[in-house]
Amino acid sequence: MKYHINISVKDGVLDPEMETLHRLLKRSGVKGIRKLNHTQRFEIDFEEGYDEATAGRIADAVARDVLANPEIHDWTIEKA
Amino acid sequence: MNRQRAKIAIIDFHGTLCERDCFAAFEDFKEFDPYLIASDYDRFPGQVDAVVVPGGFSYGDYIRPGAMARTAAITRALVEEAEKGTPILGICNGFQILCEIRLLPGILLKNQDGRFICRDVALKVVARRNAFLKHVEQDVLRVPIAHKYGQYYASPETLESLKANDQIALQYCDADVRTTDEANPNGSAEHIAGVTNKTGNVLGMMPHPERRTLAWSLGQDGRRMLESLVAFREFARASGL
Repeated sequence: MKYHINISVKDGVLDPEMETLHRLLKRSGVKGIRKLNHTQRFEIDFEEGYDEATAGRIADAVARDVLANPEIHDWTIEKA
Repeated sequence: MNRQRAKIAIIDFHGTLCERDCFAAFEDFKEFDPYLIASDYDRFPGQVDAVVVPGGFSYGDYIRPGAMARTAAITRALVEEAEKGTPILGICNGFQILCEIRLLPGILLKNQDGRFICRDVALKVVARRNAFLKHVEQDVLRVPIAHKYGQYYASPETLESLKANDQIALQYCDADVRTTDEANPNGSAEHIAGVTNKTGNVLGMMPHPERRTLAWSLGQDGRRMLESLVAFREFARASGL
């Protein structure tokens, strides 16, 4: 059973990497981009024998406690 | 005089680098008995009078600086010490760790200009609620920073509550103690270089006071913070705490 955790930077939080990429793209002549965002996707592959409820709970805890920081991140969890 | 020395636990996470600098800084005081403890231990060996979480690159900064420390065995014991009111000092990566394990509010983002910065900064001592700052008489401390992820960030609501509770401990400032944008090396919100938790016993700061403590150091301003802890302990003992 696999779960995907998608983590993105909240609106209003500066993402220096994306800002830099945006600036460089503009400088190199790419037009029309208002804003660049990026999302990290983690995949959790569970061992055999885990039911959906337990696996979902573990994925949720891993996302909330380690992979994301609620101060700056939004995240979604989906069963793959 | 047969005075008991304060036990200072210095936590060594995998990838921590500044534990020996911290050890040397504390060892230079007759009042302190520092020891290193690996983060794989799930408890401190006996008495703990203060805890230091030093700088470095714990877990290779994987995920985010400090994020993986949440999974370390010692972390639960560290949180328990914080709840007991034990003075805790997190320096640089130690500050990032304290934020990531939610002992301190906010988070440290990549510096505004995206670069690693290593130079001396001036720090305005804003609030003295923490044991490491309580008895610092100077209004400005000069100590170095060395970080790539030092831009303090917190939501507007969190920043408001930091101000309301006197949790902003240190701010980057210029020679005239003005907190200007030019004196802010990394774009930190409210020029924040260090914050405390609500009760004041946990202090996190990006600059490295331990690098300005010994006689041969380029300065001794960091030493003032350790002297403050000595004074704080004596105060605590005198008042029977």
